[in-house]
Amino acid sequence: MTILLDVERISKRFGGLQAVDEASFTVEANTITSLIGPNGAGKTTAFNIVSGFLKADSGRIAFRGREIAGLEPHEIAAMGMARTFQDPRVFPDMTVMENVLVGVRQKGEHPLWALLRGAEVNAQEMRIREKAQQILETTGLIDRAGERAASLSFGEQRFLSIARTLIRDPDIILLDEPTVGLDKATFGSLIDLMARLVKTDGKTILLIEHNMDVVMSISAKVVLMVQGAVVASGSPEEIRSHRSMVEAYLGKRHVA
Amino acid sequence: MLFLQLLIDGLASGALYALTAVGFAIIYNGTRILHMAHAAVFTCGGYILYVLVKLGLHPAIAVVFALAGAACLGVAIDRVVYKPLRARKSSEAALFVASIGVLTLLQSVYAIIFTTDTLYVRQGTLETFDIGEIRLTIVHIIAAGIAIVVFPALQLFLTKTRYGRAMRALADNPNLAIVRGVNVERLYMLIFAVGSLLAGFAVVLIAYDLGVRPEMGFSVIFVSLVAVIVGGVGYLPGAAAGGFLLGILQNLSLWQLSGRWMDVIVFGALLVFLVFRPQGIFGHLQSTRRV
Amino acid sequence: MDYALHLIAMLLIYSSLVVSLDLMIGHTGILSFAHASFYGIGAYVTAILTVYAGVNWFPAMILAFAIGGIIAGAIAVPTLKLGGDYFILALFGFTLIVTSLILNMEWLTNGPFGIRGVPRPSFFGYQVQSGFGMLSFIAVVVGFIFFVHWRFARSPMKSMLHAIRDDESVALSLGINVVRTRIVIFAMSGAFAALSGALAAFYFRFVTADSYGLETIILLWAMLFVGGNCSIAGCIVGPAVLVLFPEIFRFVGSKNLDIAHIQTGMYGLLLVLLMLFRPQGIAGGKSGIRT
Repeated sequence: MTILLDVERISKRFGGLQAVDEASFTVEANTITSLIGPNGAGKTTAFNIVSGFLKADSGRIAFRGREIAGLEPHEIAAMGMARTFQDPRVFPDMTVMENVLVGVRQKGEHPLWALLRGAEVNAQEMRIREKAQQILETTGLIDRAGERAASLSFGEQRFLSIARTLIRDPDIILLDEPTVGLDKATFGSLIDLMARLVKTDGKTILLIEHNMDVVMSISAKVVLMVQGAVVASGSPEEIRSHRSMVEAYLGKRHVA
Repeated sequence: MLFLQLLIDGLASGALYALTAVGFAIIYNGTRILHMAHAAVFTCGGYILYVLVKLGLHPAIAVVFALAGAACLGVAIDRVVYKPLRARKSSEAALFVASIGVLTLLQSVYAIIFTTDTLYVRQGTLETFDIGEIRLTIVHIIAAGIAIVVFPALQLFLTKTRYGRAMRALADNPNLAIVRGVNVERLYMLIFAVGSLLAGFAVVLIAYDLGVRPEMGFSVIFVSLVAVIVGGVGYLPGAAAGGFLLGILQNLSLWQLSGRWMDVIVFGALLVFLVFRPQGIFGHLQSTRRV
Repeated sequence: MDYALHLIAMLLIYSSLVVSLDLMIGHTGILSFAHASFYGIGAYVTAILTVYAGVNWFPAMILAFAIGGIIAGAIAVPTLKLGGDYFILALFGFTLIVTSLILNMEWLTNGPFGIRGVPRPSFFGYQVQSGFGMLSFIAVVVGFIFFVHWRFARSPMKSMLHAIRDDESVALSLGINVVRTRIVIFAMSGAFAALSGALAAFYFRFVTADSYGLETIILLWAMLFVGGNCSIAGCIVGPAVLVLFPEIFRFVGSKNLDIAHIQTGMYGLLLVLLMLFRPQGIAGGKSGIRT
């Protein structure tokens, strides 16, 4: 198994709070890795550091073998990392289709190309549009393609926020609590979608998740964070064997 | 000697800039509105003073009315324009455009009623006192007096009273004041009243010294805005220090350069600060909204 | 008849300015107060080159475009890094500095007297003389500016800019180089404003500092928000309303002096009312900047 993302002893301090404390974990290619832990454990901060939105005080992050600590978020994104935020944060006044299209960088965005519009630019735009069509089909949004994103339900917006990252064909997708606030049916189809992305499309997923059933059933690896530090990591079985620790930090109801 | 004289002139105009700067900063910190119409509030105080003195009122009484008038106008702008926009959750861009609109409207109203000529409140020359070769005017002395009285009083108000503390809490965190059970809308009224009152203190002196023009507020407010940035946004004593600094800088520049370079000096200082030390002389960079 | 031609020429020049302002404010969310300065820089570069250096009209116009873009880019790099309100103030400061420099650098700009005698453009020995010829010339250049922006608004660039405007973090997460894009847009917008300035220099045949200061920028903002941002139609409707609006008073026949103030006051009132009751403007759609 190749290690796609290697996070080594990253730390981040906000004033008096040690949000992330020498946290290390790895993500293997073509698997789902889940980051779990109580609220305020530093999971989202770790996400923000990995995706470049926050600079770590110390530590190294290697993505596809390249050091990315210190790069700008858009540079990291361009290397093949995608992320969502806790809220869907779709662009409400764009159509569903436009929301997906804006997820990928293309020639036609440069002023000169936008003005001159060579055949090449048009061809690229056509290809992207076709691909967006496909992605909207796999995410079940194709019927809503022409509607304003604001008219979608919360669950549909969540799917759209994931679809928006898929158009760029990223190697790894960081999903921050994607199942929160979803009804049962949508919840199921999101789990299906994640499984399909890994199995069929060869994607890698790093997930922040509170629902232990989900974590235990779909992850290849689970990383438990507490107060900024990684206190345990391993396969779901291994984490289960740490039963007392998980219970202590997350409470009984979380243990499957 | 010229240097010393310019320094004293600078301190006096610095005190006036500091008053408007702190007034603007109180409103900005509490509401996050880039309240450009503050300039029109400022000018309004000057015209009230002018009219009442011309009507034969004693200047001291006219000053009280001018201060009250400025405070009322500030609160009225908040009630009539900003409050409905807040209620509709308008963006900062909309609030800013509306504020520019209010400023433009009021300046034109002043120009229509009073023409664009400079109107003089006092007759004759300023009372002056010569100490050696240094010449102090009555304006210098009153400016110093106001600064010495108003700033400590403001500090007391902000630290010792319930509403003063709530105003500071609101500046740090808009939701906090609601939690503490303070009526936020009433707090907004107070913020605009206090901020406008401070502009009033500055304008009555400037009006007495130099007269009143419709666009007089504009340049003063601009220097005050620069003072807020130079001193450090979010930190009131910084705004006051910034005001003094710019007043001194402006006047000392007269030592070497002619007066027409004053704008370049002030805004040159602004650009230098923005590029090299955007957090101001004091304190750390506040997270204002992004572009 | 001549007067009608004049109104159309004014309308065209203002529309071209508003469309490049819209690229920045409406599409990208950069609240720029420097647009009038780039307009002025374009006009002055054109006047200096053609009158003092005897440069032909076409290279002068191209140079105006380029210099406008370069100065805008140079200003954008340090200022766009700043938070929103700092940025607005920095550009206010820039506008005042430009006005002040134009007035004070007499060796280059002839100070407050401005530069007279800008030659009309000529084509292959034929000099454009008539009002109609000049109007056609302006129409061609303005048509070009509109065409460019129309192409932008129908390209993937538009969505990318809206993404930056509406949610910077999401834009970054999608791989958009937000800082570089903003700088490019600012520089481009400045270059087009300078091109409009060149047109104004050829049309009026003289340039003075007071045509390119804060009053002009407020007028341009008013035009943009009255017409409706993010809308080509809005960029014509806004200037049309504000250019034709004063004409009403020509028939009312008010006192000459007051007309200008009534006009400006109405602009201000219009801005306030729009923000309160129709923030998207007369012809603006849903895709504009959040108000």
